[in-house]
Amino acid sequence: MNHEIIEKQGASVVVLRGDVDLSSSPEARKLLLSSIGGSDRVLVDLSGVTYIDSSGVASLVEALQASKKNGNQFALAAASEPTRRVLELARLDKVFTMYATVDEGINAAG
Amino acid sequence: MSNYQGKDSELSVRVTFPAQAGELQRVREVVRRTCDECGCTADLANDLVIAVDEACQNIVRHAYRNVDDGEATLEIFCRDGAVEFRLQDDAPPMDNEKLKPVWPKKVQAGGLGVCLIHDIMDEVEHLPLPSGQGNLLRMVKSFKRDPE
Repeated sequence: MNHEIIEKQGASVVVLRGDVDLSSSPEARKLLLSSIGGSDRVLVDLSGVTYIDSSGVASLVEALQASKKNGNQFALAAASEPTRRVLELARLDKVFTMYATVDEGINAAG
Repeated sequence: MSNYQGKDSELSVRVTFPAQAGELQRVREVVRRTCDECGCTADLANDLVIAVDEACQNIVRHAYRNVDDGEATLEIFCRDGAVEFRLQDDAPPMDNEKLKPVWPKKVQAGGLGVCLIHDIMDEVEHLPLPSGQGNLLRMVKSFKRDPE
């Protein structure tokens, strides 16, 4: 997994790429929680995620819960098909605010 | 309890791997390739990769908790219209209660792996090994062959 953080129109866009699995999810978790601590608006760009497992999903859930606790906005954008499928199987696809594109997410959150 | 034993002629692949997080990507590649060869559709192969990966994770995270040098073996049997996975480790026997799918009543981080396995597979069995040590998880999925 690799990542990038882009500041755009007042939002932190956390771009995750590659496999978010048992070996990389601790890094993803740390990154997401850190972003939530540093920005009121966090959008996670999942377009480059090639695989995500339950530990990666747990990182997203934990970030969502932390954002609610802090009163931050947290959303997912451009979910790749593997990500969308796992969220659906995990019955979490309706739990997250999801946008079709990053720009849509930024504009909606603005 | 099933007495099913996969026939050698149906064995498509056997892979033994260190029970470590960094090894799971390789296992996923093996599962995907074998499912393709068995005639699964791409969507089904993706789902089966998820289920087997979650089962492997349980071995790494729970069965071999506090063990650094554990190993696991995955066997995949292709039959006509079904694929069977047999995942074995040498860890202390797992509590069967912890291998039952219990969907969380509220949104929480964790506890989804076993549920995903059961949702994707048609049959899931935790079988005792004759030696009394180790675990064997048998998972079966029936499917219609991809016409292409």
